[in-house]
Amino acid sequence: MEITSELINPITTRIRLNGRLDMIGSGEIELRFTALAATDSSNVIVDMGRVEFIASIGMRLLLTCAKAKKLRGGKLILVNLHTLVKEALETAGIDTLIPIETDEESALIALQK
Amino acid sequence: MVTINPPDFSSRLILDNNHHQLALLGKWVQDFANRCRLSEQSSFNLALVLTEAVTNVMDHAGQLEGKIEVSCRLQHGCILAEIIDEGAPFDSTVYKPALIPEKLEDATPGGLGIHLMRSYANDMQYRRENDCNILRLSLPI
Repeated sequence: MEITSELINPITTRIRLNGRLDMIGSGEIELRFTALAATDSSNVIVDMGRVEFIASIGMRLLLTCAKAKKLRGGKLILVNLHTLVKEALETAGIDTLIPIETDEESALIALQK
Repeated sequence: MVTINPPDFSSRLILDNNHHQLALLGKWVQDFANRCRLSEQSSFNLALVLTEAVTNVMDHAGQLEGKIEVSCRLQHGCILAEIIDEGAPFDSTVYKPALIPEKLEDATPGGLGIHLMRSYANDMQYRRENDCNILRLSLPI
């Protein structure tokens, strides 16, 4: 699992994930992802375009970071989800807790609201 | 890891009780899906259900020194999967589904795995036999 990040604007970071969000993949990125996504009040857009699979442990990582981000006054939004990954998140009810947008542009608009 | 492929749409995989073996499970499911020409959706669903089921075994089986046997076959328009392990008794079918909270602040990360198994499988059966946990799952093709 690979993770990269880029500051889009002074208060928003894009995190790109590449690989499988299963136990191994989640373990590989957990520390860095948490540090990027959950430790301050800035907003985070998580680009899931290259995430081909997600298991419950991956969902737990997203949920934990989204919760921590919200407690710090920021927002975490998921974008570019593959259909099957999105369906899995919807099945788990995660979509009612973590905002999902079609793409980065939509996410940036949502963050302005 | 041992894979056994009889000359029909069935396959059996033997895993050690080690979370790193989950990567092999993923590859085995993909191979089975390719041989059976399953759709991308069916392949994904099967991979997810088996990942959750085998992870539960590894997390709840106690000091499991034996192997975990996973098998799949096509039957009557369904995918039948079975997970057999020699660990402590663990029946995932009796766990109550996780309640989805209304607010992110109230979310607790546990219970998603069994909820996903129940959602994607159209049948789950458990039995304890010869000191083994046997979980049988049926998924639509």
